[in-house]
Amino acid sequence: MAFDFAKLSPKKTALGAPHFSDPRYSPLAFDEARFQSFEAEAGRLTCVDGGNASVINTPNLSVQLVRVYRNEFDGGERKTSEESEFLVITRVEPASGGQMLLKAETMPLNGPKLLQEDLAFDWADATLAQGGFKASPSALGAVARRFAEWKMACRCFNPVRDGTLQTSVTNESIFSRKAYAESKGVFSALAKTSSLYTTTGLPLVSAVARLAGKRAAPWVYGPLCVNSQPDHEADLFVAKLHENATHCFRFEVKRGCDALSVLPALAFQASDLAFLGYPYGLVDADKRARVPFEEARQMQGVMRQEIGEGAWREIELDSCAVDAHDFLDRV
Amino acid sequence: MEFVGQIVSGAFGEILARQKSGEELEIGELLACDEPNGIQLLQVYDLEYGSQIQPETIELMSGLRLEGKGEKTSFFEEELRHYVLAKVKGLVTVRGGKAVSTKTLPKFFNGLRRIRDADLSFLDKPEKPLFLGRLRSGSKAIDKRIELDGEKVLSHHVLVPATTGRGKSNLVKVMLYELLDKDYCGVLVMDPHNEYHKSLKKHAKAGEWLKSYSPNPEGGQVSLRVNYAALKPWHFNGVMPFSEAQQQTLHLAYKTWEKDWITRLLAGDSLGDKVQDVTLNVLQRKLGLILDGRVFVKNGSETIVDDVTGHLLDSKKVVIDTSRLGSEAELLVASVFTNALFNRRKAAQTDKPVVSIVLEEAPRVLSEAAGANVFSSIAREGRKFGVGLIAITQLASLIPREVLANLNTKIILGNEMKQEREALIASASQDLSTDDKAIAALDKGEAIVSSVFSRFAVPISIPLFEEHASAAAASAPARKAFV
Repeated sequence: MAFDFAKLSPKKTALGAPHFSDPRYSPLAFDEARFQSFEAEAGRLTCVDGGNASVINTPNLSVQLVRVYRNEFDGGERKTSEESEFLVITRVEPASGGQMLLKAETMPLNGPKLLQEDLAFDWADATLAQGGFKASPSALGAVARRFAEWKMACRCFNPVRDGTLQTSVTNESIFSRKAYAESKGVFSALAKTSSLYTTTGLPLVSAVARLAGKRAAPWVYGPLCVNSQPDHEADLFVAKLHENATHCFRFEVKRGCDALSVLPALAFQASDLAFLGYPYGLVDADKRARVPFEEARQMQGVMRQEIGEGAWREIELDSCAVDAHDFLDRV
Repeated sequence: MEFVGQIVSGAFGEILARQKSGEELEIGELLACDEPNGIQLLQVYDLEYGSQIQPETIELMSGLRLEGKGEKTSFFEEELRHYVLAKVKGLVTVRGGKAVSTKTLPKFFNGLRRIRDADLSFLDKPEKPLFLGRLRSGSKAIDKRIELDGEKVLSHHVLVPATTGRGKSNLVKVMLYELLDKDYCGVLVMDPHNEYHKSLKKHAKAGEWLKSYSPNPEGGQVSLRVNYAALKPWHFNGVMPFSEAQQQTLHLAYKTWEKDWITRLLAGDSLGDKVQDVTLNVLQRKLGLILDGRVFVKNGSETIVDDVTGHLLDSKKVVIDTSRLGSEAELLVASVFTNALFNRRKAAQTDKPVVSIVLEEAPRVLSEAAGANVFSSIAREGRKFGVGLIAITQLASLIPREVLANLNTKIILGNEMKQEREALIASASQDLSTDDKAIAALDKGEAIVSSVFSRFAVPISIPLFEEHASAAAASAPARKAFV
């Protein structure tokens, strides 16, 4: 029997209330009084983002190319920008008690060395493992990127992260707290995507947008909850940053800080036509931090030459255990 | 270093460079790239927009602006995100003051700057110079005279193709003015608008070097009259069409009546049973039309052909005013002098001085339809005897490819007609395959010189004749005054 695709059309569902599965987030019922309008205004912001891509991936060895970037704008004028690029080389090593460790060292390529210490994780670490499996060495590439992003935000003025302020990996909060302590102004984050929902199953961001109706943007709604999660020191909001924007975004500000101290400057940057409603500083950071596949492939070529053909063939042999998907994609 | 662009991608002959914001590169502009082993000179041949933003997004932005929804919107760092990409090609590499063919790509990401005088030190003045104009970068003339080896260029033929109003006459006047007192060449100029004599007589040495003939002579001109006896049947080749029977009759008449053949034909004398009356009648009518008595005469002027060829071999510049003649009569005059010159040259054991023949609407005699004639012979083998053509035309495509290829220097002026540009590009001495837009965009007085005697296709700016002549007169030593 054919599937009735009409079932996919959104139903007119009640907004419900913000829903958080973690009890440390106490949701606050929707209330139009929590909308605040504001005017876009030029101001200083530092946007931070990172990217990583796999260069070598075997079950016991991973090399990832990581790039972290920040820019500072005052209104429409770029003040500074900085980039840090490094390799994360992760190996699986046996430890005492039958445990296995993922040990990563970083090798700086360009810019400041953000991570001074090597990283070591139990491969059963629940914050890394997915679906109950052991973590793969490649996971440490993303971990190193997250840590480096926090380090990059240190000593910045009004740092804005791409994403949220939530820490999710063991010891990440050490880096976040240092960043909060050392940065100036107000720490915030703007997430392009959100997986929050309402009690009726609506996406939370879209529910707020419906609640806003034809309210003139820029506006901010929130807080959405009272947040006592110690690894997520943030107040949560939804913001629309330009009147002609199609998107609203999840916005977070360091717990206890005034969201309106940075939102006018974010709205000012959100007037850029390339992505109306999304701050130009984050567009720039996303672009500059991204590590394209082609770039990782080039690095692979360099490493192949450095390693030598014999050793490279060994690595290729090992990678056969994990790269069948890639082959299938090319068939 | 003041860079105006930077190499970002491309391939040999089609390098892509990003234009620096605030700069404005032009099609045809000359750029330099400093390399470890010399300076690469490059030329812009195309321009296009570049953007870091996806096309769909740009179209949406445009919609927002056009539909009045673009208030409170802007472009951040516009100079970084929207830019111009210039397609450039290598012309030559300059090493130690000498130009060599470019065979390498400039270093990736290298900066490009505008050319400087020092980059052009290899453009030295030849011993026997033919001035064509000043070096041009885009639309900017550079104070560097472009002079090719005149003796070689003239003997290997010159083509001046352009549509009306692009400065053909001006170019030829400037060239002739510069050549006037040069003793390495004689030039025969067919002057259908009676403009070259008026222009060239301004030259300080015109009295010595310029010889002018006109059916209605004015100050300084000699009467243009050609005696029938100077005419030969083959002079009519390419001038007007004759059937095979008519051609045979012309030759028979010449064989029979020798120097009186024209007079007898025009008089309607019989050649006997070998020629039908109708053929004779048609010939009489055709010859009567072309030999209407204004230039071609039964009596007198027996020496004019020798005089003209003698002047040419003495390196004089001979201007023939054909402004009051029909096209066929003009060609016949040219044919008579050119045949005589070519025959004298063939008989002599020298190819010096080189003699060039300036001919407007050259396809009249060089096209396939014109058949074999003295001009097409010169185009094919004239250089062996030091005789060349300066062929001027709006329709180079009518000239057969083989002949076009023999015209070894092409001074290409602006041309809107694609078919014409294609004919020129296909027969140029350098690879001009990327210069189609540059040729179409040439303004009046701008040209591209493609020659086997230049290292690259040289963009030039041709000075206005009046200004050029005035400047030359001002800088020439004052004539001695006899009191």
